[in-house]
Amino acid sequence: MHESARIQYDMLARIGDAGINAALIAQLDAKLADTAPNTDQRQMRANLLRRSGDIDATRDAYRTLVPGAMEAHPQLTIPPGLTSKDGQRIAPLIVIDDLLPAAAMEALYRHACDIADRFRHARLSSGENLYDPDKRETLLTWEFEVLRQHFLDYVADNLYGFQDALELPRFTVERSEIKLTNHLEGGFFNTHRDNHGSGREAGRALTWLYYFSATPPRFAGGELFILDSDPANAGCSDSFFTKVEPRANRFVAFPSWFYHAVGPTHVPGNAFADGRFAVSGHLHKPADTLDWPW
Amino acid sequence: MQQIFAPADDVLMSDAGELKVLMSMQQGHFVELNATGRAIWERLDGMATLAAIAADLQDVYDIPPEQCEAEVLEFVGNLREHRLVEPRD
Repeated sequence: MHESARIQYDMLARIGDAGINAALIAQLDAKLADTAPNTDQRQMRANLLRRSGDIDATRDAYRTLVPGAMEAHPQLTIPPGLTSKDGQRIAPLIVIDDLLPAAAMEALYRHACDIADRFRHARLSSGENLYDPDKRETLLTWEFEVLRQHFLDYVADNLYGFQDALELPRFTVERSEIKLTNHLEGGFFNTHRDNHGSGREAGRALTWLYYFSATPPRFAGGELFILDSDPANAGCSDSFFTKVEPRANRFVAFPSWFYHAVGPTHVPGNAFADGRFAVSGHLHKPADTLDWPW
Repeated sequence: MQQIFAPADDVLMSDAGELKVLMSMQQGHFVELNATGRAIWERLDGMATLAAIAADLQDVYDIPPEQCEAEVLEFVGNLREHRLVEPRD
């Protein structure tokens, strides 16, 4: 891992530390106890919660802040159209826990372990398309069978719901990308985004992930950090983000233009079967003239 | 160095373990305090001048006065930038 990435992850880990954020929230709540909370203060509370990775509490906080959007789309954790204190857009986010029956997730996990020899080091999609352990250390395979069609159908069947919840125009899908990934000891993915173009250009539009692992999990770390971003100007925040823990049986989706990173994964013993697995997908859209926000 | 500062009204603090973190409710940025920063922060009580704080720290840490004053000024400047302290008359 490049030194700059290590420094960034250290900072994200400290800022996202659950204990620190819990202490700050407790102080904030104490300060607000005697006053009628205003929108700024509620937003601050939600920011602390999403930094700490408390998805349920984050959803509750945004239900108070933006009740309409959250009631209309129960799968939303963070509604669209919000900005953080430094003016970056907060990535709207869908998180669905316990997506599959336990037996289905177990079948997928066993399949992934059975096809361990198909996994290769992921290459970077930008630049020279090379394996670069300074920027990414991920094992990946495009070839898997169990639940592959299920996930493709699930995302296709829920496309309109996801688009509406995330306030994305109803783009058409040109191609649906799907792969299995595994992060072992030291695995990570540097800050990047999956689409560098404007909304109207052809490219990836929706990024989704489904996490699975041994039960109980035998890894730590590997959090997904979705940084508040300025998609139109290729910028992102260094201190405002949403942390998503890679909890088994959790589905996550967000617009592909937002910067994100996978924090370092720790797998004691480094056995393939003990890694942080995910089904990872992207919906590709053609060029269009829809009303994109970036 | 004769200025006096106090914590801003809307500053939040976390003292989890060795790490002390300050955050302004206005800006939302975190500022981490190292040992020196912590010592300075604890002396920003709305009564002591920066000169008095520097002199106190100089005695405690046995560092040259110029270095101590420079560190206090730099640290308090950083806190002001993040709206974590306010000047007092």
